[in-house]
Amino acid sequence: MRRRRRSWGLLLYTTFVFAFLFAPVLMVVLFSFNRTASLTFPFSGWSTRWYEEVFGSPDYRSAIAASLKVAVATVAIVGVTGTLAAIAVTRYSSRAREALRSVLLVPAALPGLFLGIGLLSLFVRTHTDLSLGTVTVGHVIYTLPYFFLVASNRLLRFDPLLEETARDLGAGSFTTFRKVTLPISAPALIAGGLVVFSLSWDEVLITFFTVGSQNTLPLLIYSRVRQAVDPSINAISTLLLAGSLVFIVGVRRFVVDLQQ
Amino acid sequence: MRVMERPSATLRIEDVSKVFDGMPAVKDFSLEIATGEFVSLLGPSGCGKTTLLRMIGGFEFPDQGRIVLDGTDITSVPPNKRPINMVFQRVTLFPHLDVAENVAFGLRLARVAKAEIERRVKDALELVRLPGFERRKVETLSGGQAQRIALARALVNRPRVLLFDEPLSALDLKIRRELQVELKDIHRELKGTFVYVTHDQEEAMSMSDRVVVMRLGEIEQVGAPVNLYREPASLFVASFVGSSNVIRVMVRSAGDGEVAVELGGTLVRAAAAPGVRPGTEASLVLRAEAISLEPGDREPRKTEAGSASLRGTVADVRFAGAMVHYRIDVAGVRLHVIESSEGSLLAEGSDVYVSWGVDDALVLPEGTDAESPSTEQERPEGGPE
Amino acid sequence: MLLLAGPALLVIGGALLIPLLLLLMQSFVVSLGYGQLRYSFTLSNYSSALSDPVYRTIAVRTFAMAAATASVCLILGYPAAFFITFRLQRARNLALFLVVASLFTSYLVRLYAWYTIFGQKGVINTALKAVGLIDSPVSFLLFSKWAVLIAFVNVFLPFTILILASSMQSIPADLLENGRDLGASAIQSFTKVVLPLTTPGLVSAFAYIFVLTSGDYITPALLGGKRGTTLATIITDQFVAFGNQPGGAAISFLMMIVFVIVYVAVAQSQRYKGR
Repeated sequence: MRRRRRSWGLLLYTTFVFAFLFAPVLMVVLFSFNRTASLTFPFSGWSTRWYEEVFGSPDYRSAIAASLKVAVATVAIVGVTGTLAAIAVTRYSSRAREALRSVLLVPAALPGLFLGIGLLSLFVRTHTDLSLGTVTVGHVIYTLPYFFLVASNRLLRFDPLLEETARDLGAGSFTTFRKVTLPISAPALIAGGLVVFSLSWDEVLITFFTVGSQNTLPLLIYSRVRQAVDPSINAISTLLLAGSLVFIVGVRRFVVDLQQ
Repeated sequence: MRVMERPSATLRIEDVSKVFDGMPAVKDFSLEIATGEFVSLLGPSGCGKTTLLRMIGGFEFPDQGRIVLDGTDITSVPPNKRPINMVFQRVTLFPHLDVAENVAFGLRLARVAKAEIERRVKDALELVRLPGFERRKVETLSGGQAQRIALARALVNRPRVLLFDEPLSALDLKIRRELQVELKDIHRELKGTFVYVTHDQEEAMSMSDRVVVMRLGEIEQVGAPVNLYREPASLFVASFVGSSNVIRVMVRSAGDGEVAVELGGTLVRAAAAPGVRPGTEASLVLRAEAISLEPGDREPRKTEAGSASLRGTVADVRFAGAMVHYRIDVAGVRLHVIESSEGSLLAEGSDVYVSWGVDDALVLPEGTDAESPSTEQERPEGGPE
Repeated sequence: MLLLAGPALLVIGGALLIPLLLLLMQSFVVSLGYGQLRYSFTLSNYSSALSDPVYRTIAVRTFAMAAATASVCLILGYPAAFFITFRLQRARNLALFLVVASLFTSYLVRLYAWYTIFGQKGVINTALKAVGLIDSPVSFLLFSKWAVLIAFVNVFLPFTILILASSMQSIPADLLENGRDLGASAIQSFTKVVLPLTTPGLVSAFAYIFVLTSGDYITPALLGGKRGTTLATIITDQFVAFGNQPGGAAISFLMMIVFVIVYVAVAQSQRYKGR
């Protein structure tokens, strides 16, 4: 007989935890609409002036463009290499599979600092100019394990008999991949891609070491914060947030699956 | 109904062997399957039946031997190039396509004209009794419906041989029985060559023209279901097919295809397989349906000389609808007896007369150990099985 | 299979292994300052790092902060994960989704948010001032180890809840019901069933948070203030400000040794717990 367990204490506690998790961010969003630069409640008025300032600023605009370029490039590269690797791992025998899996997850086990300084040393030694390209390299190695985790989690549930069925019906290897494997795996891969975009869009530490003259958005915010706290940072931060969050709407379906 | 227009094929499997990880899965297997035959491969798990089927389909390749289809050697031809289709054990409908797209999958790959595809898909769906299902989504189908669509998807390509890898094993009993009947109807209509793998002997017996009983990678016996049932060649077949009682007895005399064995203190005559010699122990095989029971408080019927007539006690009664399953303790053993449930049922603990005819019993030589799910034996000495 | 996994392995080889090897090599080379290197083998980078008392203090500070962060995350996160897993039914997916959503909110923005809360003109200060508790703004809030700790916990808490919830979810519900059936009180079924079965998750989460926090440069840089240097700060300075790559590399590898020890300890403990 199941008794209804009401744990009001735990409910209250958990609500506070959620408040703790979301409050800081909500503050930033709120203050980005404040008419004045003050950080007090109540507001003296609502305004979008900080947003206008941000969009009017060439620095911010080029940083947004740079972040976009890097994120898209990262998704493309990680999407292809990660998909192939995920298929490899979900397909083959146990021993090799576990080893490959562990190797692919290593970058996630290290602090971004090490990835950053390692890449910096590499670029210095090979006399490679630092640019958005080198930033992309850093983002690729950083996000690859996360893509792999998300994608292979779903792909593991792919029934190998489906491919045999396709072959039985006359499909060669490439056709099977194109008409059966890929379409069925697509949701997992898309979820992975969204995760990669979000991580890349937000990345600051590795970027710090591998960036050339062109700032990305998080890096620009970081350097602005170190100089002085000005309210336009609230606005740009909200935009940064929007970039990460807009994908949540799409990821929701896939992410909930991930929990199961 | 012109779904399978091309005449079906003759399949010849010649001395095929396959080893997995050092363990032989199929050993020197040879079989010829005639055009339009419905052949079942029957056996317990691990007997190699699925491996053999997959070799016919092209998903495994034999280490030795050949597979010949209508005179063409297809042993190393990949599965997508064989005019053979398979219905798999699990539901393998493509989840991202609807029913019509699933069924048409092979036709699209073969670049068949669109109008022709539509027509053939419609015919195939009608054949499997699911007309109008074209636009349905795969996840809305029940297990039985899904396997029917899988069948349609295989049939629509007009394969010369159709393979079945235990396609009904995941379904409920009732649906399974329905589909077995339908499959048989479809086979009759199309006159196709079907090769069907199963571990369910009832399934194999009810649908097939011939049954191949397999064990440890080899053929134990091949024959029409009736022959396997009446004349099992070995203890294994005897106990695998149908519900049999297997009793160890001492052979007293032999001659003319018959033997007399000692059972419960009396001599009982029975038909004998070759190799049974007097003075040795052998196995007496009794079909559960062949044994007759009469209440023990009356005079037993007269039976022919030498046939069994023993007194026993009812240990257990299980009513199963049309049939009743009894367990009778008699002559030191416990027999499984199946009778029609018409008439009055015997009560537990009551006395019974147990009898069977000479031709209902078969004595097989000692040797191969039996796969005996329905036998409970008590040796007189009380030793282990 | 190699063909499929090849590109990914190339990426890891080229962008991770080779750079790390390069770093390792550099840690054994003499630094002449400002990026100049003399290629002779030396252990001086390691010895000076290990012997410098300042570095040692900072190392202790760094690892203590990391351990504190991990501990606080686990302590705060456990009840929440418990509630979500065992007391919510229809709301559970929504709750988990919210946790994941908070993971997706930008790390940098959450960091900056503390400025608006702890800053001199920030929410807390202005609130306290309005209420009259203080006259002039309290400055210790923002640039302090407490701010760093709170910020770290805010960042790693969602992840902790997810890991704990997932290890709790894998406990079959009837196991708990059975326990209650047989007479165990709520506390007993918790300590005897839930706690042991979630310990591996706890331990893994601890190790992971510990490692990532130790190497975090951004948070201490923004919130730590003058006394907030960590090993990450030192390493970054060596690389960026002083051109002393070998020195930075040596400290990095010393940190890595600590990480490896932690991960190995976790792996061993999983094995001994009879998993």
